[in-house]
Order: sequence, then C-alpha cells, then structure tokens
Amino acid sequence: MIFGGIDIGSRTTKVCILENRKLVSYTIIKTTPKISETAYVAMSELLSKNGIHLKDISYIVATGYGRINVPFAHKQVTEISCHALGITFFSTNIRTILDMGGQDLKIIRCDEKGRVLKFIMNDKCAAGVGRFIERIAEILKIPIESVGPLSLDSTNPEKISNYCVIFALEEVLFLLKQGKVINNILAGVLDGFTERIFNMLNRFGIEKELAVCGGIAKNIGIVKRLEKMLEIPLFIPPEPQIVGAIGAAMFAKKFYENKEVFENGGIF
Amino acid sequence: MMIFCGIDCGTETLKIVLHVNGSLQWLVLPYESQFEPSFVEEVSYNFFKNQGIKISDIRNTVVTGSGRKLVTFAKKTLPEIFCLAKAVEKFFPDAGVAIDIGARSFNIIRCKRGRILKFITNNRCAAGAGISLKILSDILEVSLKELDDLYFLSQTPCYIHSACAVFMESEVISFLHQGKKVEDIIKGAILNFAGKIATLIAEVENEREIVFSGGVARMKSIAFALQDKLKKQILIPQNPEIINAIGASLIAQEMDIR
Repeated sequence: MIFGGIDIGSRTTKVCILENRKLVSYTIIKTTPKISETAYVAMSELLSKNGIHLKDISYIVATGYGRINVPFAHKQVTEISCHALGITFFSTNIRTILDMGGQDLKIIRCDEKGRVLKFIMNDKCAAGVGRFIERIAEILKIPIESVGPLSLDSTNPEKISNYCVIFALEEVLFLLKQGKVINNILAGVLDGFTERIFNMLNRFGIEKELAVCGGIAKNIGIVKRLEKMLEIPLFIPPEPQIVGAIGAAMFAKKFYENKEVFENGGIF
Repeated sequence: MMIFCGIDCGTETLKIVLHVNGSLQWLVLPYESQFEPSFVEEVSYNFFKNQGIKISDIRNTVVTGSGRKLVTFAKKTLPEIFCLAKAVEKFFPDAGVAIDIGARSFNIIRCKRGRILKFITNNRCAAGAGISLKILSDILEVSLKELDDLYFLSQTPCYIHSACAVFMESEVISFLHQGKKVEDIIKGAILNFAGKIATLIAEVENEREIVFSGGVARMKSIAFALQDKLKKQILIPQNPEIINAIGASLIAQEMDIR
C-alpha cells in the first residue's frame, strides 16, 4: 500500500510517498504562483524517480497553504495537524513543535499519538519568518545556505534595533555603507530574529522535547542560538522540511484504512 | 520683526517653515543620503539667508519629526502629534480626526481645540507608511506619480489582503506571474493600504471631519481609496507635507507670547 502526502508551502512544495510506515522517497521544489501546476510537477518528478504511477498510490492528502489547489489529492488537512502527526514518524517523545516556514511560524503542542493540543501561529508579520532571512541574504548578495555559518563566525555582532523587516533591511544597508563586516551584521540580524522566536516560545510554554522543523531548521545559525537561549537540546529531524508532507501521507493511510472514522482531535 | 520657525525632520525630507509677521514661507527638501544633523543646520541657515533673515531675528524655533533630537540649535523639540494638533486647530477648527502619513510613520490623532484626546502611531511596522507604497512602485517598476495615476484606470482590482509590507510584496509578485494588469494590482494594494488606515481611524473616531496630511496625502489615489473606505469626504491641506512644520512654528509663536 502506497500513500502520498503533499505540502504546498508558500515558498517550497514538499511531496513524499510512504509504503505503510516506511518513507520511500521525497522531493522538495520551489512553489510557483501556479499552485496546481507546481503540485503536478513535484508529484510527477517523484513518481518517475521511483518508477510508479499515480494510480498506484492508494490515497493522497494535501496540506499547506496551497492545499485546496491540488487536483489529485483525495483530502485536505491543515499543516498544523500534519506536523503534529508527521513528527511522530521521527519521534514520539515530542511535545512541542516549532515549525518555521517561509511565510509563517507555528508552535504546536502535541501528544504521543500526534494529536494537536494547542497551537499559536504568526502569519501576519514577516519579522519572524523565513522570508526575512531570504531578504537579508538577497541584500547581502550571499546564498541563503551560508547565512547560518557566516553568522556564527562573528566576533562583534552589530545591534539591529528595528523590528519590522523593511526597516531592518534599511538598517542593514546603512551598516553595509558604513563598511561593517557582513558576518557581524548577520550575527546581529539572527540574534534579533532568534530572540523573537524565543519570546514566542516562552509565551506559549515549552514542554520537552522540542522539535524544530521547517526550512529555517536548516539554518545552523538560528538553531545554535535557540539551543543556547533555551538551554535544552533540540530535536531536528534528518530532513526538517518534509515533516508536514510525511504527516499528510500518514493521514492518507489513516483515512484509507478507516475512512471517515478518524478525527484528529476534532477541530484542527 | 516677529519671526518664528518650525522644522520637521522627517525620514525622507526636511521641512522648514518661517512665520514672518503672520505670513508663511517654507522649504521642502529631500535628503540626499542618510540623515545628517549638520545638513539640517546648513540648509536652514541658507534658507534664512535667502529669505533675508538673520538667525538672531528668529524669536523661537521648534523642531519636530523623527530626527528632531539630533538638531542642536532649536530651543524646543516636540513629537509630531502636538504640532499636527496645533496646525489642525488653526486651519481646520471643526475637524475631529487628523491622519498624517509620512515616509516611515503615520500618526492618527483625535483632537479637540488643539488638544489630543487619543492617538495611534505605527509602532515598529512599515505597513500603512509611505515606504510600503515605495516598495509597491519598485516591484511594479513605475514611479510614485504613475502609481497614483494608474489607480484610476483599474476596473477590476485584485484582492490583496496582507497587512505586512513584505507579504504584500509576495502577493503582488504572484499576481504579476498570473498576468494580472498592473493597474488592478495597484488598486488592490492601495485599497488594502487605505483599509488599514480606515480601520485605525474607526478605532479613534469617525464622526467629525477628517484631515489627511503628510507627504502621502499628495497622492490622490490614497485620498480616494480612503474616502471609499470611510464613506465620507476628507479634507486635504494645500501643502500637506508641511503641516507638522507649520504646527511647530505656531507652537514657537505661542511659546513667545507666554
């Protein structure tokens, strides 16, 4: 039995296929404005890589902000539920999930069965999301992958006082003009960024263990800073971006096996 | 001679108003680069000289705007909202609410006879400030003037809902990829911009007359969108960007009388 999960995020689209409880394969591509096209491209790429056909997949669940635009999905589930269920694929000891995506940030409390107990979300302001890091990388003309490593190699972090991304970018430009070192600017930016997330986590309340997923979990600069601030080890899945897609595939299995019976904690 | 001076050090432009025996003279000058206190002094002294005024003739100077703390030669500095309230009292005595939208900030005040009863400013956020319109014009590769004109060509505006300027940018880009018309994107974005301001006005009061000032009040599209959202006429001064500086000069005059 093969099940598919597709997570259409605001910046990247993630697709994975599970055979019972084993991850067969996954792919991550950039989301284009034509969402259903992106979904097709991602899925067919994955299918041809594994030599299977769409009809071989018993059930497909879509999640993420573009989930309603996936023509081949049988059902849609919110990314909050998918992350809570998806994280159990990696570990059942996780009680708090920090999901840092391209355009939103979610903190989810879940139980050992992957049910959502409560969550908070920021999708109104760019100050704590991946887009901020992307913009900083653009302005400094460096690849986004090197933001984290460079920020850790800093002797004297600059202080970035602005909260808003737009104003912070202007501040960064001004620092550049003054001839400040990129590493120190980046360190300042990530210090502020991490502090915001830290404050949000504290307001929400952390229960161990804490998993970090989403694209930003790949940024070593933020992960290291968070670990230092929180003083607890973080659980980071081997591929932090596909937790939602795996959760969607696990939902597909549940839906397929007992049709309408399963309800994930009700409202979420 | 009774000369009073009001200076508004905004983030993008410097505004200087001279109040000479009851008549007004003013100067509006964009900064060439980053704000420099010495630049303000240099420009002010040159302006006074061109007007045939010696610095010793000026009885009082009040400085306002975000750069006010950096100007050294002023007797008094005041936040923008007090200057705004003073100018509104003088020119629009019946108005109950004033909105001032600048490059990086906006202030909404509810006032009565020059006194502020309530105010809202954009706390640490670019949404609703002029810079978000600049960002819009940059992505669409049109000037602010063209942006203003194109608004009126749209029949079917796109629906843009993000408050955050960064997310607005992403929304605009995906509309561009979908092949939407530039004017429809502009109208959608401006309606969203005006919607945010209108919501904040409703929080303050929406009964008496509303005055709209600041550099952004030069854009007719914003005024139209605001009127559309508020369902009422708004008043715009002839030179909306110097209102705060005029208010500062009026306060300078009042200080002298006292």
